[in-house]
Amino acid sequence: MTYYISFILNISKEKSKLADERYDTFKWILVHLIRANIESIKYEDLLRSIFGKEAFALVYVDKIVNSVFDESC
Amino acid sequence: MLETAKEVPKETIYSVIEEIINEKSESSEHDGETHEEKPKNVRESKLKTPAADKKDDASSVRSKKGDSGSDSSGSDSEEEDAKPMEYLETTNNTIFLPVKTPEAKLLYGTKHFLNVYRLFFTLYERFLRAREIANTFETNPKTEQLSKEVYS
Repeated sequence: MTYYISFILNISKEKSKLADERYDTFKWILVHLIRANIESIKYEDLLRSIFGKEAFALVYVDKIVNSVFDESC
Repeated sequence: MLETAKEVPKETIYSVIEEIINEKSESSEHDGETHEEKPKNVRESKLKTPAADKKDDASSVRSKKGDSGSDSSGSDSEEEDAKPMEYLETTNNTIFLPVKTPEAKLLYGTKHFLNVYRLFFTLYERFLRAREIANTFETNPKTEQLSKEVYS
């Protein structure tokens, strides 16, 4: 029983760590894209490798950021 | 002895001016004629012909439209030539602020507030979505088998 509980706890800890790492990597990739260190095609590939098939929602974030800067500044 | 302006100290000049002012005030208190002269001048300024009043009204309307006092004498053609939204075509290269290009919109009032709010809200929404996606893991039977093999 104790082994089973420790197994579940380890999985949950690993999942939370992985989720934080994925979110941090997404933010770093976005920053590098805005600084023009990465191309947009490579950005899409990296997002797909991190988030899988649900990465389509985050592909156009860089364009939203650019539109915010263009219209407000 | 005649003294030049350089030789006389400032304190003496100020004292002489104060004495002159005090003398004038004392004379005005004693004599009532000076008090009566001022209202006469005011009345004269107020009494004007109706034509003069109309001219004054026209000049006041021009000044209200946006022209300054010096520009009020200018012709109407100059007023028509001036562009009402000229500030949009200007460029500003001030430091500590993002560069303003003529293509960019200037935020004035609440006209473009909704557009900017929508953009910032979409950004916030996308980052929330990224957080949710990062917390959800795909159900892949191959990876599940690998984790079972490791922990077993």
